[in-house]
Amino acid sequence: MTEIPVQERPGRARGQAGPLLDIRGLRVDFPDIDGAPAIDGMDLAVGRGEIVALVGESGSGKSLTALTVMGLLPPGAEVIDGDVVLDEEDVLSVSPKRHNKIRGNKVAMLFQQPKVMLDPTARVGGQVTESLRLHRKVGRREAKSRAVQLLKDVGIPEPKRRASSFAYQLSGGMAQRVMIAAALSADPELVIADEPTTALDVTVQAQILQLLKQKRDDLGLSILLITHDLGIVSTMADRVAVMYAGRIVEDGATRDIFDDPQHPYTQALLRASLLEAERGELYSIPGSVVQARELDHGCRFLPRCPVSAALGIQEVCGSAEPVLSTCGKQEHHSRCYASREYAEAG
Amino acid sequence: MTTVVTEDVHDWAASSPLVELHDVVKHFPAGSGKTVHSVDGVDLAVRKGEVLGLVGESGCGKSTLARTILRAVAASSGHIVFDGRDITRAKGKELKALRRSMQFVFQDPYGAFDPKMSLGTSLEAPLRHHGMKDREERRERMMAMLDRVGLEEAILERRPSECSGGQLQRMVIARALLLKPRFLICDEPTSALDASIRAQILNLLVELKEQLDLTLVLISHDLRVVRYLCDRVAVMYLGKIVEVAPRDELFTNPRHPYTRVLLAATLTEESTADDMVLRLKGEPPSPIDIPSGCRFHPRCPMAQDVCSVKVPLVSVAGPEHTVTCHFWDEVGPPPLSTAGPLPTSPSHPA
Repeated sequence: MTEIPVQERPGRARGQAGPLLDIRGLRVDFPDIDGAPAIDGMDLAVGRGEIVALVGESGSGKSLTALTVMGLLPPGAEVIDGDVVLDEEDVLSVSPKRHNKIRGNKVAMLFQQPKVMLDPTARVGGQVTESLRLHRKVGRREAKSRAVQLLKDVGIPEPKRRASSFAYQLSGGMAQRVMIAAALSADPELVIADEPTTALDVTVQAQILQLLKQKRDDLGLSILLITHDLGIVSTMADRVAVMYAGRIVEDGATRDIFDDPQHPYTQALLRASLLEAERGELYSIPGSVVQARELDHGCRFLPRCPVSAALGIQEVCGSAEPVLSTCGKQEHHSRCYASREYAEAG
Repeated sequence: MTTVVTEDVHDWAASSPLVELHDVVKHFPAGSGKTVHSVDGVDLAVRKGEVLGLVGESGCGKSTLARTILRAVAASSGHIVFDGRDITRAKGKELKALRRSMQFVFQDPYGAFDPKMSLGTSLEAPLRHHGMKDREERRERMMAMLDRVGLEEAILERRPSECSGGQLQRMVIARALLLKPRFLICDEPTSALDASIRAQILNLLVELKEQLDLTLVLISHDLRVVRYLCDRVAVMYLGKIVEVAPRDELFTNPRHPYTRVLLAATLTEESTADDMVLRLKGEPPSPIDIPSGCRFHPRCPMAQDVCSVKVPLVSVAGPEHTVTCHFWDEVGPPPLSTAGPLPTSPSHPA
């Protein structure tokens, strides 16, 4: 695997205390499936109080990254290398018992389909305070009143009545609010939100995003936002990390990524998400992530890359994977030979 | 029709309606004597060869309206006219023939096929059902359609679980078009897909529409998709159409407060944190207890006393632009986040 110079690792150069979440050189593999590991040399940092968006196509390993942090890897998946440090504790080496303590307490997760994630047979109030009772040893009666307060905090009308509702009685937006209340109940420091609004209407989406942002501002929460909707990224994130075929190919401040994308994959993603026709046809990225798994050396994006061909540097790109390196602006990194730094160096 | 002197004859013929809805109502019983007013008096026409966008929040009745048009559920009252014939009560042979000319593309490609059947068997089913007995002929038709939607023959041997979302959505479209329909309703055809795959599917729809001379209704809550693909847009709120306008008019000069809210809530790559101003409180009220007067008034940022009492009538706000609001002519300039030049879409040659 590619060596990344220490000083080039994102998040390392941050001023004060280290980042809240620091993923370094993570590799997660499904041993039963041929090809490169699903996550293959992933580096990602989320600072305290920061909203970092993790973007990329389906199959690039975004959700698997989240599940690794949560300690909820699906059967058949295995961490083969790397560190995941959460608040100065390596969560990959802790016991399952300790991981249970971390989950909910330090890190909580929001999912794409809130109605599916809620227990259909239990009342909402109990589910909201489950981790509170587990981690904070709060009694039954106090939990009940805390549930109402938590539901109120996420803007649920008639929280007292809603606490005794079942999941099927909630709309999608309401269910996601309940999930947020549950996630925040034990006062975690990091929330991983995996496509939290994909299943929701635009009007409700705006409300949920606003709620998350407000919680960040009020509580100093850190949020790792996984999404493929670049419109959401643009309004929510402080920093963006672009993931492709199991590793980060570009990261930087949100405006830098949108205004000055350096990696051809980022450029392609941006172009594909703009629903604006050029010569009557929308741009879509040729090929798929799946092909990348079959490459054993060289840049993973090469088979789909328009830039490499245009510059005539396929040979370089195919020989060794470029490292994630600074491109001009501070804290802006790109893993591409055609990025500014490489280009300037000759 | 003396008003269309500037347009040539072909354009005029192309704009005559293929589907007309007259006061279509679909109610469901909700128990305890209550009623769900899913579709509550819709008048709408879909013109031959156009792409009509139908937008609105979940639960506003978009999908029920689509199912009612396609006769998947029977209308409670009103009339549905397809190609000049009233099909509201069509049955038996007539209905079966109708099914060939009207088809549906579902939102969730992953759930659209029988998981235990090969995709080939699923694809063949409509041909068998509609009496194409010759095996070779069926195969030929399927191959031609796979070619059109850009899939390989090998996919017919696979099961849905072995395919990607993009492939499955192509299969859904292939199956819908296999019987050579003239009218296609696509219900959120791209909401389950990645941006890049979304672009591919939208390109495919545009291409097929041109090749096969289709008339399309696109149901979506993603206004970016609607803006790209549609000729006209109808906005639905709680069982009623509140605004209908040609695409450019709707996006640059929205008149209904609800349309404006929807436009404002749509995030684009140019949106910044400042754009995320909450313009609409709460969620749509239940279609069981419809608010009095204008049904949007409890959430409307510009509601006045009259709105809770009097049902607004349909007003003409411009050429082909109708709006159902008491104060449509007082609605100000369009929201910032959707201002800017409109893209040139394939259905709108510059």
